[in-house]
Amino acid sequence: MRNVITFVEHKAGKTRKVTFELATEARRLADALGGKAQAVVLGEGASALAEQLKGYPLDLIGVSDDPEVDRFLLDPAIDYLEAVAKGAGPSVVLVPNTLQGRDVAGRLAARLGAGLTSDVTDIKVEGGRVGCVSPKLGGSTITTCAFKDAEYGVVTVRPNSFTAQAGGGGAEVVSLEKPGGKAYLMVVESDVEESSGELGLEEAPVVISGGRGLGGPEPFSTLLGPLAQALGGTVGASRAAADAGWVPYSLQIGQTGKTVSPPLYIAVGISGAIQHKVGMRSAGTIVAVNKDGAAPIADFADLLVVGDAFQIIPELTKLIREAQAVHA
Amino acid sequence: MGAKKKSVALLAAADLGLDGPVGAAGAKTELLDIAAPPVRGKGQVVVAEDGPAGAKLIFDFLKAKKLI
Repeated sequence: MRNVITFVEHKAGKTRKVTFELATEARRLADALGGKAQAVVLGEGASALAEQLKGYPLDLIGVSDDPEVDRFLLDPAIDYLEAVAKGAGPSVVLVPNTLQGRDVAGRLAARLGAGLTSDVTDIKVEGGRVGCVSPKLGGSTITTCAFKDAEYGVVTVRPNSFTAQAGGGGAEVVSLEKPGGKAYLMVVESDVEESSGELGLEEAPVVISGGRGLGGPEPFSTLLGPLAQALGGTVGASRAAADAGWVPYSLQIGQTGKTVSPPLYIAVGISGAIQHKVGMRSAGTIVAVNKDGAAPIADFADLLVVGDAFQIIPELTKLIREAQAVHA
Repeated sequence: MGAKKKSVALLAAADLGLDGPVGAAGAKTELLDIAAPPVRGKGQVVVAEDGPAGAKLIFDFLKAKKLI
């Protein structure tokens, strides 16, 4: 495999940070493999997003505004990707490790007869081989896997694993031809959209999580919300809080919820049971506020402040706001 | 308990009509390395006297780490 293709996930041209992380990593990988880096953007708003992607060091941006892409779940996107990959020749395909991305990756790998590595946090190229590093078994084991086949490999990448770096530019935007001989059909019975904060939990640079210690639903918006806003982050929760119905399950972090690795994680009123730990242990820095100094979180937090979160958090929010006002 | 009495049938790959390599031999990826995650050392545990003191502790910590 020589070329690198990255699948851009977006909604009507609005995308997330992971897109730019993957565009940056695609460049690095393509250079290491001696190939080209290209992005594939499909559906409504694709052209506009391609313009934005030009600010990243890609060689090629394949675009199609085909409205069918949005109308028929993922089938058309997979057809486009398959055609692009076959056209590009031996390549690594990078896909964000999201609900949709995982679906795309599995099906594309099957189409290409390729290997698939999932939830990858680092990629190493040695002697032309692509080694994918990913945490397994709830992060208790780290594996490095390579593709046996030299043709294609599909990788789902965990958001926040690579740093997005604009620059380079000069990518050529090409219009993708619609894969022929395909007919799509879909039956919609109901369409439910669940809100999950402003930023995607997996992508937020700062996650402020609340647990049982918060005692109810209100502190998530009145206590954690303002701090998250001050830090440019988003609010998450432990299973205890989600199970109690204080927050929607979409905010749950842990073994049965989401896995996050933000540069900064602040756990408030969370004991740090293994169920929660596996969902956030890969965060850059972990700060905890808890009444109990002997809570399990003491063993893996970089800083545990033992005290009353209801007193500490508003003061912390104030301090941060004041510091920002000085710099503004 | 009924599960205990059930017999488990053993099938060979050929019984399932699979003629290609199966298991590790048929895998499209291969394991190069397996390791324990980097250990997260125990950090500091500090008792806050009151709200402002606790907030200051966190604020200074984040500032030292250049996170704010």
